[in-house]
Amino acid sequence: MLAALVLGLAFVGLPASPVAPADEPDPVAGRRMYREGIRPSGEPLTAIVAGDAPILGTQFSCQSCHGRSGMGAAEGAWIVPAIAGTLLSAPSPSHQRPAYDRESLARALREGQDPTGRPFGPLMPRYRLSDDEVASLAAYLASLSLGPSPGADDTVIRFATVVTDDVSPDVRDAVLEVLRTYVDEKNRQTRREGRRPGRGTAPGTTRPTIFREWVLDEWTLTGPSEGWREQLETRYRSAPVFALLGGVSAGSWGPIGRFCESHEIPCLLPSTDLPDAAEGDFYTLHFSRGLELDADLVASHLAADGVRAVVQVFCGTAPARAAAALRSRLEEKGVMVDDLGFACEEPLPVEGLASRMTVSSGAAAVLWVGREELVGLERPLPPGRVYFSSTLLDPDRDGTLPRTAGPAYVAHSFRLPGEADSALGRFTVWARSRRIEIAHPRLQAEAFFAALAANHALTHVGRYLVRDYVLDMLDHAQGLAAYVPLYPQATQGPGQRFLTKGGHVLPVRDGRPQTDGAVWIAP
Amino acid sequence: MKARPRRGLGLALVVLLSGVSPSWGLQSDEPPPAHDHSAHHGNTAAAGDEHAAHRAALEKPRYSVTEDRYTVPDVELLDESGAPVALRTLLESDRPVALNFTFTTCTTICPVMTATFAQMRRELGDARDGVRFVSISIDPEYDRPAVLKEYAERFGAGAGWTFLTGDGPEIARVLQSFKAYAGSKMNHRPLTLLKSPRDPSWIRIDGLASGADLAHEVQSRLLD
Repeated sequence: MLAALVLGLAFVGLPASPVAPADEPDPVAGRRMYREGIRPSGEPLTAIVAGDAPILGTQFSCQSCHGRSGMGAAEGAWIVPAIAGTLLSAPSPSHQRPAYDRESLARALREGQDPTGRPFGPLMPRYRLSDDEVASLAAYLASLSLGPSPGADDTVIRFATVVTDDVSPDVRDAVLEVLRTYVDEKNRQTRREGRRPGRGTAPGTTRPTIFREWVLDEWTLTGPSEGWREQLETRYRSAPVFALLGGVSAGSWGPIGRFCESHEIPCLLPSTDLPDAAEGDFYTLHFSRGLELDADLVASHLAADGVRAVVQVFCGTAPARAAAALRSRLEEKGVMVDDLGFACEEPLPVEGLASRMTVSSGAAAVLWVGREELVGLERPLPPGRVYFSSTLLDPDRDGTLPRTAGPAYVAHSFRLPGEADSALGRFTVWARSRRIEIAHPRLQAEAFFAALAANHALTHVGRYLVRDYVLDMLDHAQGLAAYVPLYPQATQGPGQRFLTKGGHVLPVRDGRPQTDGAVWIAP
Repeated sequence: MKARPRRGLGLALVVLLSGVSPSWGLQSDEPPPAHDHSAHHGNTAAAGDEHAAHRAALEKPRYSVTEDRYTVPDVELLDESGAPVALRTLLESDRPVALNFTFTTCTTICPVMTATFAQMRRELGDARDGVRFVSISIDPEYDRPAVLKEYAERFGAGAGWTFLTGDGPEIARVLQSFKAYAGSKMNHRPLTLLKSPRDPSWIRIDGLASGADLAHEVQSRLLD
């Protein structure tokens, strides 16, 4: 339902023609076939693959292999060619074939051969398609852009970094200094590339440079989150950007994510504990699910030990959201949940917690609080197990946790304490050698990786500055995972929108999380 | 202009030394396919047909059959319902086994391998009830049991076909023990492994075989 809504939004920009006459190609119907494998009748496409295996479009679609952008993919030795726009409708010297027309495209799709009659490999399904369906698919393929997408032109590619005003100015400046330095350096290193002699594939030919000057705008969003969308729209109207790079918010990333989906803008790796992604989102790539992941880790750990009752303590917006996430996980499992919210200016209500935990014996306490709230507790935390969240404790801050009478645990969604982190080390060396003060290692390293990932993808898309292609490229850029700082076991893949998927629950001894026997939990 | 292979180490060095990686290599006519660090698509501007090698790979006989012995690691994996499964017990039982490696967000070969596995089962008819079919995910971080369950349903897998995931390091051990480890999931090659309870060796089918081919191999090598 939600996915349908998102796709519905994505339809903006194409002529909507729900009742297209049978003889008129309908790119919207073509898109549904391409992306979802559903024919105009609502039935799945049918095909034969690898000689004899029947498949349905709902098992995999054109997009599964050729990418959302239509720019192709490769896996091992298997190459899937690009089929977007004029790459299909013009002759291809490298594939040694003439241009496709409607008829040769129909033969390609039904019989699996190119316009010269050469057969495709066994991976390309042989589809059953009517002439109208081929025409609609052809219309959609023709509509796939080879760029440049909005925000890029022949000389410039424009980015913006969104920072919301609930972030302190020193955090904002620390993060922006990393991004500005990266962008300035990128521009310095490539500014003369445009003057290199053109190097066409045939002697004497020249071609335009693939280098663009990077321009980084800062979009500061102010006031309550309900007003962010309008501010984003205004900024975007006055200077469209190709992608959002990094960004920081203490609140929900939801409104910014919705903006990116509706304008189809890549939103690369913001620093947020509340991603609030929707099912089927394509445009925002996150490091992790943040506090929702911590909630899942706690829920898994509690379930494994058969705990049947939980008291949650929290103050502030993000902690309240974490508590709500854990509540819904636990209630699905039939665990009793008691919420104890308090005002952040007040001390942590230890007494209230103790009395609620005695009511249901064997209850666990989950403290969705930061280190400030744990300072100067008047009495020790009550007996029974206690959980903390590493995200709220803040991986950039050190210190011991308060004494507990029972066992204590930390839901830890970052790399293990003391674990080697060569990606973070690389950032540290990079920053130090540029005299950047590292006051907020987590957020600054995240911003650095966002820039690195954007640069990696743009390098690989070359002259095709297409937003969807950049995201397809990042989905397949397995080599990038080694450069992800802080987050453990990062992986990418089509449709995967969180680099890290799991975490650990670490026991606390002497006020410090222990890594002995840490078990990876992938909820 | 020379071809400039873009390998992982090259990128790593460029990134390490300069922080950004200007590319002088990517100026060919067609977009590079969306995958990382492959030597297959350097800037081969001089080559008339840069995909000749791939085409040859597609057009040569589609699979090869060899025999090898493997030690199945003693690891506990999870099936699509989330239940723990001792891999060695599962694979070294008194039933013949057909095994492959896939992942659910894979483009290109995995959905096709899953489709041919399903077709093999159809071709085998009732004989399939005597065989244990196993697909192990090589992307265990994403392919949690619930994801595998949905994938299995999408391909109409049915009883007798188990989908497995587990911890990353353990899956890597499994892949290594079957000589199926390719470093990155994006370098993954089509492979089907068959085992008869009567024989300590595994039959290794490298390449993309059709459902009928696979059914024929299972029938003749495991069931007859």
